[in-house]
Amino acid sequence: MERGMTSLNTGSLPVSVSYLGMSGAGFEAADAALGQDHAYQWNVASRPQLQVVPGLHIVEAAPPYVMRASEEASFTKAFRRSPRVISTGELR
Amino acid sequence: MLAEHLDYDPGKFYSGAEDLPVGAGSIYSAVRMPFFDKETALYYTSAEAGYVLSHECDVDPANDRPFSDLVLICPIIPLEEWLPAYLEDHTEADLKSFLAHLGKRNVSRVFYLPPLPPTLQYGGLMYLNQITHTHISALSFENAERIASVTEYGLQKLDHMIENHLLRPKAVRLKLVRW
Repeated sequence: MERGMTSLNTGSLPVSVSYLGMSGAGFEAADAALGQDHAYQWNVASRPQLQVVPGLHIVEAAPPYVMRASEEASFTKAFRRSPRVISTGELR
Repeated sequence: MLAEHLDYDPGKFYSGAEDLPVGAGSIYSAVRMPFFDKETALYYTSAEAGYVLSHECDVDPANDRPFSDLVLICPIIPLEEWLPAYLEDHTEADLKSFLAHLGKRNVSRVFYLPPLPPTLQYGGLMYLNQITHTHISALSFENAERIASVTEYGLQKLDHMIENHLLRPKAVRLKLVRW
């Protein structure tokens, strides 16, 4: 089991796997567990037509890291200072 | 620090791009693209390293059809250029935490590209909210060199992030009809 992840035995009940695939480590693990590519997209709670196979080993990934606005702004700032800026445009 | 937490193999990430058509997975050294400047509320142009997202069929010049002149691209900021901007508003402890989460791909909007010298000496960051477009001709300008492609392995890692960022199920249920 990978760090930061938990497993649960689903039995025959649909389960919420809304965290599934929200972190990178969960992607491959979920695919492997469900035996299908892009299984991480599944959100069983919102798609009741998808039935969880009894006893299937579902991997629930840790919740994603929530970026702060200042962290997002660091990208804008870094690009704005880039020595490769060609044109800043101008108002007409 | 990042390498310590990286949950994918950087050695399997890149391949040469010489014999590949222009398309998803190609990495260029300097592509002209637009950026929004909050201070001036205007767009500016910069020639940055970029990761192509458009499918090769959509930008193949042999496909004579409309709407094949623009390319979706995500700018890549070299890690060493992003670090000073980050540290202006954050502590080193913040940085360590962020990099650890980044390496484990817990940051859903940012992907760390492993080193690709000389353009990405220490690796680069793709902030997925900065995905933009450029004209196909910008890929042929001077300095716009195609420096690599990701491998199938690398593409899988990136596609997971992009798909999760753009296509994950909505948090709220939409109405089925207009009224």
